[in-house]
Amino acid sequence: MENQLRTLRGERGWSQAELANRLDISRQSVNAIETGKYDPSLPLAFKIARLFGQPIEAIFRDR
Amino acid sequence: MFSNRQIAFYGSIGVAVVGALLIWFGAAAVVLRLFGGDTQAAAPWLALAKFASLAWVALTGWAIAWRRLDERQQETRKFSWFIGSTAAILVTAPLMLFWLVNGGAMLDAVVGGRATPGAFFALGWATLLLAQLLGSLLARAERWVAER
Repeated sequence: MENQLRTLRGERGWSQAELANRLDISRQSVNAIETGKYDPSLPLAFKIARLFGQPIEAIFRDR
Repeated sequence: MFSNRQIAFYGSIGVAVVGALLIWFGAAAVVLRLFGGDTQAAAPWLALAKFASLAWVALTGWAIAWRRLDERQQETRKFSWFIGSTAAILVTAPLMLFWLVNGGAMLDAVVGGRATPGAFFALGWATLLLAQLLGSLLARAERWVAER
């Protein structure tokens, strides 16, 4: 899956660690999601969508 | 700088270890007092105290630390334990044949003068656990490299 996480995070000026704290996950997991090496579960994807105020499909797309 | 998640994680490990030490030494102190310092008579109860201490570490270390991990970290550990420990069991299985055929002398040397069925059982259990941990560690390392 592709995602817009890095872009959305950059727009808000958050570091990976700050985003990790907001999502209650590790910084390494944020990095793995951003680089497409890990696809989050649906609950986490919803959490990310809520945090950025966007629908899931606007953040995650099938390759 | 540690994040709140990391502090909570290492804190839970600390609780597990400190609790285990308290159980071990606390129980040992009580048992030795009850038996008037007779370590021979108290030996089974001291062993039980060690077991309770290790059980505490296993339960708290596993349960608390597991809950502190995020979903990706949990997935990584599930993957590495399943793949690594399964591979370790398969790889070490031929050792059983070797031990059955001509490993007696070697095992006697390992357990020294305590060649009892219990010692051999403990040795087998520990060997398998060690192999599984090693296999799991290798699988985890592979995942770590892949996710970098």
